[in-house]
Amino acid sequence: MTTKAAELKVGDELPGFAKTVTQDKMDRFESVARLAVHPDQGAAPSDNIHTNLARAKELGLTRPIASGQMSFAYLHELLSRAFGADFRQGGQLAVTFLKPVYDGDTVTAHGVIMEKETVDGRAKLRVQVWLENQESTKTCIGEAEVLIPSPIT
Amino acid sequence: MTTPQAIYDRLTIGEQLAHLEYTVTEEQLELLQGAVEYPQAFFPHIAVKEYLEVLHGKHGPIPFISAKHKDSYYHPPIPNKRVQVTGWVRDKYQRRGRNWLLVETLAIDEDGREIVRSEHTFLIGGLEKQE
Repeated sequence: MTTKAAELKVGDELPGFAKTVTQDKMDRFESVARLAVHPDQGAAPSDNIHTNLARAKELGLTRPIASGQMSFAYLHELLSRAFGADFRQGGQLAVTFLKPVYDGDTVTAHGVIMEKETVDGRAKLRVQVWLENQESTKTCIGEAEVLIPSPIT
Repeated sequence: MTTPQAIYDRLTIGEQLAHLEYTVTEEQLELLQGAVEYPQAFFPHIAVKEYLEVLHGKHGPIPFISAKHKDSYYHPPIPNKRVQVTGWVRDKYQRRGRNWLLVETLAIDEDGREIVRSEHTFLIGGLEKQE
């Protein structure tokens, strides 16, 4: 994977994929935190704006929204698929959340190589990433950096 | 009841937040992988929202909406190892009548391996503008 990724050029697109977000997936995603921080309470989802209509309305939302971290996880997957361990050990990802993602939305992950240079014998790539919903609206945008091969072993 | 504005007012830049510890388990990983439909997802911290736990741990529940997030990855977590997270308030500011907060966290495992450094920007109090 590393050799192939190192051959990417500016303008090349990463292989994308689509995910349909459901309330069940949102609930399960929120359960991970509950399980980690309050393992005695089991994997029940946290009661928050991602799982509870009343909580969402308290913040001016019309209905529960998917956590921004779910979108972040999708972009993390995009980069992990493309760059493997070089991204997971030494990579960076910064994302700005633009629009809510709701139950039933389908988002597609995109990535384009914006810059490529050689630093200390390694290929350094800067990648623009984003998610787009079924209406072709960007729901989040971001940038990633990855060194190939990673300097972290 | 403490208002979001009162919580924002008492937060200080540089303030150390609560310490968080948890063990990465196979059950968490399976839950994460199912939720995001990616069998190779193995950074459960993305769903754990450590930035939020360290903030809540010190100041209690705070209504917020996420604006930005940045991760720098060092090593993937290892199942059955304890993860220790420290967090602090990196910045706070008001813009367009809204309160913003930047929290930074560093997660290391019980062997001292750095896992991830994160920065998370919150809109405190949701979409309503503060008076």
